[in-house]
Amino acid sequence: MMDDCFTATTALSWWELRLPMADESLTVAQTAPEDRDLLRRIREGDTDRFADLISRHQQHVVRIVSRRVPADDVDETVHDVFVRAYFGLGQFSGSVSFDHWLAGIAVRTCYDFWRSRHRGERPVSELTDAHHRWIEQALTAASDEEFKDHARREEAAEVLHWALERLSPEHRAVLTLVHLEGRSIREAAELLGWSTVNVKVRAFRARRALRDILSDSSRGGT
Amino acid sequence: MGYSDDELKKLERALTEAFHVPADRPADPGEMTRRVMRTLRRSADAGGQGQGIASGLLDQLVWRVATIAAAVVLAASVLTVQVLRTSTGESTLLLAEEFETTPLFGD
Repeated sequence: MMDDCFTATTALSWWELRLPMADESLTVAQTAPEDRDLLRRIREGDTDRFADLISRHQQHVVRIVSRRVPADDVDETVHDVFVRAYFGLGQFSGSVSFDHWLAGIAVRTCYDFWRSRHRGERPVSELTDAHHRWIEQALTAASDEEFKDHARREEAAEVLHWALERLSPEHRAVLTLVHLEGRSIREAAELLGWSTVNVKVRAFRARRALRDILSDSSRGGT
Repeated sequence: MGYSDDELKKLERALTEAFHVPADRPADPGEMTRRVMRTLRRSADAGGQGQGIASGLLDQLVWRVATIAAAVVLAASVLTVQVLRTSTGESTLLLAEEFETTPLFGD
């Protein structure tokens, strides 16, 4: 069964999508000496030093969060990430870099954001004529430059938001990490705190779900 | 009707590019720091300074102790079951032997 699943993944050749633009913000090799020093002082009771840690890593967290939650919810989510990080400092062993550890908290906080939103009733946006026109133009793109030009348009972000909104929180989280950011299965598993098998299966299903959503969006399909 | 495989690949690529377009976010970094620290201080006032970190360590300790305790209980249960099985087996064997040697209807 699992083999079938991975054969099908190969057929879809999803790695073709993995552009060489992996988000470096998610992987930093070692905890910086400044961070180590701040962490030591916080553990010794100088908790106000956490403000320095926030200042040092805020951009990093904002970059991760702003790609995952609506603009209006970014501040609230970033706030939650740092509060969670503070209360989880006791669990930071130092085996991974502080940046990486913080990235994991940010990814999981965004995942929780979508889980809580998924539970309640939520307004679901619909594609307009302008979005359909953007899709038709994107389909005619042939060069990298053309793809980039189309991507910069407002409709691009809206169509992406529209498609992701229709995925389950689990599929959304995995698709974002693996297919959109180009993370490896192992990295995605580490950041989400899931098993690699779980991420592999979900990555395959998420991409299939996205393709179904996009197919259904075609004018003939709706 | 939907799209062909090639069209879907193009669409996915366009959306992937869209994902990487940097969002304009004029934010005040100082404000976020103040906000988070306010929340942490309020929480510390409610439960004592540094309680958060301590509770993290305590959580870890509780989980470790619970895991070890569960392993010990499991091992003890397995041993108990084994001992009971062995003793039950012996008594069955003895009973069977007794039946074999004792005449059932007194002849």
